[in-house]
Amino acid sequence: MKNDFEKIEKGLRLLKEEGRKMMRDISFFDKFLNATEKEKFVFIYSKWNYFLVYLTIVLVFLNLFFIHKLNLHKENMVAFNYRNIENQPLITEKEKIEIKYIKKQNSNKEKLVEKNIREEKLEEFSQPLKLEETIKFTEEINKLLRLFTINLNIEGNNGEG
Amino acid sequence: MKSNLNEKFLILQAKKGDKEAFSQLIKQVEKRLFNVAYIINPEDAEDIVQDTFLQAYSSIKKFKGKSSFYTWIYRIMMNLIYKKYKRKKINFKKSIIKNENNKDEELKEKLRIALTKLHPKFSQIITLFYFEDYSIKEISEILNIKEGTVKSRIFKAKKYLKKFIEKNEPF
Repeated sequence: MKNDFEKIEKGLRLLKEEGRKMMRDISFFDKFLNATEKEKFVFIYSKWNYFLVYLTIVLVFLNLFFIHKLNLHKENMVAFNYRNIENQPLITEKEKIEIKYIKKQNSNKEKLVEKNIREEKLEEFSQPLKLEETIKFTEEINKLLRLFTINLNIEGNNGEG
Repeated sequence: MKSNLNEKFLILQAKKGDKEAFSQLIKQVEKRLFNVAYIINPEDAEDIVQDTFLQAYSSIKKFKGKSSFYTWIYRIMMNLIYKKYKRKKINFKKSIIKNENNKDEELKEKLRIALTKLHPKFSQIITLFYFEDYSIKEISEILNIKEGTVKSRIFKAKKYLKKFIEKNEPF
C-alpha cells in the first residue's frame, strides 16, 4: 500500500517545492482595504435594494388592505341603505306627512275616478231605449213567445195522444 | 505566549470593527495562505486569498477563539476552494498532457485539481502535513482532533487522490 502512495507523495512534494520557489512578497493589505470599501458600497447598495423590495411589498399589502376596507365599507353602506329604505328612518316627520298627504291625494283621485266611471255606467243604463231599439226588442220578444206557445201545443198534443 | 495574547487582542479589536487590527491579523497569515492557495491553484490564488479575507472579515464576530486565527481562516479558505471547484469541470492543460516527457507536470496538475475536489477536512490535513510540514501531533493540536483521526484522514485523503489520478489517467 505504501508503494501505491509513492506517486501521490512525490506529486505533493513537487507541488510543495514549486510553492516554495514561487514564494514572493505579496501584500493583501491595500487590496483588502480597497475590497472592503467596494464591499461596503455593494453592501449598502444591496441593503438599499432590499429596502426597496420590502417597501414595495409593504405598499402592495397596504393597497390590498385599503381596497379590502373600501369594499367592506361599500358593502356596509349598501346594506345600511337597504335597511334604511325598509325602515325609512332617514325620512323626516315632515316628509312622512307629505308622503301620507300624497298617498291620500292619490287614493282620493282614484276614488273619484272610480266614482265617475260608476256614474257613467249608471247613466248609460238609466237612459231610455230608442224607438227603433224598442221595436226590435218587441219583435224579438214576440218571436220567443210564439216559440213558447208552439212548444206548449206540442206538449198538449202528446199528452192527449 | 506574547504573540498569542497579541493575536487575541487583535481579534477582539477586529470583532469591534477595527479594520487596522484585522489588517494586522492578515499580515500574519497572508504569506502562508497564499502559498497554500498557490500550490492548489496558481491562477486563482490571489482571488482565493482575497475572498478568504473578505469572508473572514464579515464573519469575524462568529469566531469563538477555540482555535488559532490561522486555523480558522485556513478552514475558510479550504471551504471556499472546495465550493468554488466542486462542480467545476476538469480541464487538464492540454499542453502538459500532450508532452509525454513532462510527466511530473501532469502529475502536479492532476493533484492540484484533485485537491480542489477533496473535502476541506481532508485537503486541510494534506496541506498542513505535506506543504507546511506540521507533524501529526501538531496537526491534532491545531485542529483539536485525535492523532489517530489525523492519521486516518491523511490515509483516506491519499487514497482519494490516488483514485482520482488513476481514474483520470489519460494514457
